[in-house]
Amino acid sequence: MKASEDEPNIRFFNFNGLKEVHYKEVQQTMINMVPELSERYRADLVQDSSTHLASKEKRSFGEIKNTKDFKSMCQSRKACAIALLPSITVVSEPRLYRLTPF
Amino acid sequence: MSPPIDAQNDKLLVGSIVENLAAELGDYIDICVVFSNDAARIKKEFKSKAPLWRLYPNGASSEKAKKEGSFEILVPSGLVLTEETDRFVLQSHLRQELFENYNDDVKSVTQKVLISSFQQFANEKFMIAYMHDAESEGGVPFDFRALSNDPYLKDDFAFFDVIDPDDFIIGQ
Repeated sequence: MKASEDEPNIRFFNFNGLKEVHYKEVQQTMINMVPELSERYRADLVQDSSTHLASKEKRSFGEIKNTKDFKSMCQSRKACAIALLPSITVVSEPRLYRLTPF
Repeated sequence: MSPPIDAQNDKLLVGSIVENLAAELGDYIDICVVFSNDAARIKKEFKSKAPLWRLYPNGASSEKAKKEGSFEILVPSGLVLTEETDRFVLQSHLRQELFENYNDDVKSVTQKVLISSFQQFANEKFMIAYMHDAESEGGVPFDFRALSNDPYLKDDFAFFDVIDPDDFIIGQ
């Protein structure tokens, strides 16, 4: 390990027993050796996840009643999903039809 | 005989190869494939017919340097992508080319040089050495080579490859 004012002697850290080098495992171990690096890494992770959340497009759901709806809700978008639901007005037993945002 | 494959099928089949490579190496290597419908332009630019596999060097910062450092990957002829075994052959070939031509920052040193480097780098960097026998297959693992380019580690760590170290240094 790097010598410092607190630890002027060279210190050794041994990966003995590690049969294979796994990128993430070794990277995390090394990052944890340097407090400043560890802080930067964690800050980047938080920033990445918040950027990812902010960039998520708002999903919208609605009924397609005519061709105009089909064009505006499906054809004009990069992606759309269509669910065919039974057109019954009285449900004999309680059922829940749920669309999961994709 | 396999049926002829159209462009869309070709994309899917090549896409599956790229996805497999990305699943294996995607944590630390950006892998992508570019499709172009303009075969005439490819022929004009690279003096080669499509389909064409090219490898672009890692670490080159400008588009010009990337392009100038790129070269065609010659793949075994007669591969039929609809055949799983042929896709596997192509995938292995691409992986091999990537491994052989990857620019890393690992310094191959003798044990003596490593010890003297301790003094040189001790106050500047953490030193990480991969020690192995000369007979060990495959040499330095690709993960270790890729770590030497990790953006978080690059400034604070120095990477070394040491062949046949003595027992005393292994036991440190």
